[in-house]
Amino acid sequence: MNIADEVSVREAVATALAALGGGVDVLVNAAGILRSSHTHETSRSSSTR
Amino acid sequence: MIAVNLTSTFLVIRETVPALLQGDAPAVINFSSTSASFAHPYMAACAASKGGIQSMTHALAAEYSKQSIRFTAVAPGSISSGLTDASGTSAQNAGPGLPQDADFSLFARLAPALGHGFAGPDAVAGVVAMLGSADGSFITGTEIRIDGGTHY
Repeated sequence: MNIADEVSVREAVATALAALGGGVDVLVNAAGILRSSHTHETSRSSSTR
Repeated sequence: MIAVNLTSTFLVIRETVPALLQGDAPAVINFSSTSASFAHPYMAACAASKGGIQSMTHALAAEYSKQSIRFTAVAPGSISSGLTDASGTSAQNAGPGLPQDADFSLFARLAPALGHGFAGPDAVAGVVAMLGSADGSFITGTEIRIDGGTHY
């Protein structure tokens, strides 16, 4: 899945909820990336990705 | 970094709230970072995304407080992981890769006060488990910094 894509997230959550078969007690949002660079050398695509 | 770190957190929460409303003592734990509150040179976009996560956590805690969904965030720092030391197997886990000419004098502190260097991911996992359990039942709308005192 693409965690940053609206449709992909919707489908993935629906699949997970169907597997769980009910309510959700705990949700952990741990996805993340880190890139370091001089800000004046950072592309828009890198910062917004 | 804005899309993967911040937008994704919003999207997943938005899609999951209806199921959380049916949950038992529901809790959401979001991953922020010490970069949200303390200067981390060369990481401006990441810091902005993590600051956004903290702000969003506070707003959501208020918005869903009467439905008893708890929203908290953890703010790790000085943690050795695929995100920070290139030990991950994913192509996305290439490490922060500070610029070769990085000025380390710009970092207020580089090492945690506790222990002997960076901690492992388990230092964060235990706090996440606590926040999602009954032990965290009176905690919402805040973040817990886990950095061994790097930024006290």
